[in-house]
Amino acid sequence: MSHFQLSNPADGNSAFDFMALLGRCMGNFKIIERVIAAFRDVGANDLNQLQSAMEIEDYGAFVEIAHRFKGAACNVSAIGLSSLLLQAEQSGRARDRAEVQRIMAALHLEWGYFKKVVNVFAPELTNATHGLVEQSRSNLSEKRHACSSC
Amino acid sequence: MRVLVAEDDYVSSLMLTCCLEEFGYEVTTVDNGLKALELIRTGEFQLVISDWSMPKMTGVELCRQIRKRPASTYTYVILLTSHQGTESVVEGLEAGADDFIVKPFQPDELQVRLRAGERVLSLESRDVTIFALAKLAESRDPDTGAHLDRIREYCRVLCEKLVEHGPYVDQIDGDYVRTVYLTSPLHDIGKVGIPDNILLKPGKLTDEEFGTMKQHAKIGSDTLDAALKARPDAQYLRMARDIALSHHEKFDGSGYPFGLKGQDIPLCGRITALADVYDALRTKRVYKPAFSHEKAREIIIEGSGTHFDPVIVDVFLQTELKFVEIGQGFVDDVPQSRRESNNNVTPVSHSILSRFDRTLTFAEALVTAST
Repeated sequence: MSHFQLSNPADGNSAFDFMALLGRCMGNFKIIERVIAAFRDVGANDLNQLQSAMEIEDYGAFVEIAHRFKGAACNVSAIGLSSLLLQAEQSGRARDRAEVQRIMAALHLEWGYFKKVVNVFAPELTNATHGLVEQSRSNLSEKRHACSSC
Repeated sequence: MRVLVAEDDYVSSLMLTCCLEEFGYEVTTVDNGLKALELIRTGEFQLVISDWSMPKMTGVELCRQIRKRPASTYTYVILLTSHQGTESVVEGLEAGADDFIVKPFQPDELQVRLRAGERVLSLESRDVTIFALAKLAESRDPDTGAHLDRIREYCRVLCEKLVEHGPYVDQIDGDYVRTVYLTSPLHDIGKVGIPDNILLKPGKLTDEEFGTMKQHAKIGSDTLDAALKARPDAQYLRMARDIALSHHEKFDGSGYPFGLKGQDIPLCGRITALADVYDALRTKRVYKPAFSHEKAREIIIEGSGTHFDPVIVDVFLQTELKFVEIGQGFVDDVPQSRRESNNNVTPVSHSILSRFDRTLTFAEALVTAST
């Protein structure tokens, strides 16, 4: 594990690879802030949607959300989350209710830990000052960071 | 340059947008394949980065739809995928993807792949060069005006209908339509090898002169064949050669240069033949007035099965309104035929540049254009 990979104390696995994200954002901290802010927002929503899909046993929706969430987690180098989401996707496909429930519990824990870790690099600010302009997902091209300095 | 990003995950889309903007691209994002297809249809995007898995329409299906549509410009598609297996690559390539990026993407790789795409798209300048060559050949022919523009539009209309249904659907796809559109203006390129005293002669040609004039099909074909030998992989040169050689063949075998019959005449030649004759009928010549669409239509119907492929005549009748629109949209701006004012033509240009030299020069130019 690299010096900049931070592990989740619950399981000792890597939660976040900052250097990988830095490279992917071309060393630009403003981009990192934007991306993490977006991921905090979208991730929380996806996690809620996953929970709902699990509760009503809509495995089709569960797999679709897990796949999308996994892509986002990979991109922000959230290693722990992307690994769990891959398992979630596979268990959802297999319609394995018990495994899906186990993974969901782990996902909630990992999500909480990830938020703490990334707060070191990109502190979470209130939506009023630094959040994303909330618009429809269907209009991504107009979804822009609210902070004009970015 | 503008890039269209189709990605349903907002975070991935944001990261791509940030990178692409850093690289200097102008980015538009959509979150599903259907919206992407709508935007691509506007013709404003030639570079597309699409996620593989998306709601409503997947990236693979988007590629299929892009390749199906007849278009006069190429769309370069890069698929973003988390699948690394050979099967996925094959499926993507079969659907018409040009390249792949495995997620999570690396900015350096993204930039290199985009540059490769830009290089491919720059080959489109080849198309412009080809049209310029055709125009140059046309400049020696006094009666043509906007003939080349109309010809390729007529051919496009016929192809777009033929691709929908009928016996030739297996032979025609979006690429075929595009290649006919690109190469049909070269149909008379062999006229550069015809002496001015025949090419520019006012009035009727003698049998001997007509015999010489007929050689333009073979001269054009030989020229393009020379270019094809240098670039055997260039399909557009193959089609250009076939059109130049066969656009005066007739369905009943009474045409020239070889008297080919029916399906032995390349399909592209049969299509161009109808477009060429229709345009000639609708255009004023020194020896005839411009015929009305109705009169031209009548003559073409009479030629069905003798001069023209009956299937193509049927398609012409289904699309005749578009022919009228094209005729009105590309009007000749030459007030008087050069042939009419060229009674004292001497074969000067022929003496300056021999037929052989001229055709060789064109072949070289075509090869240069394709490299």
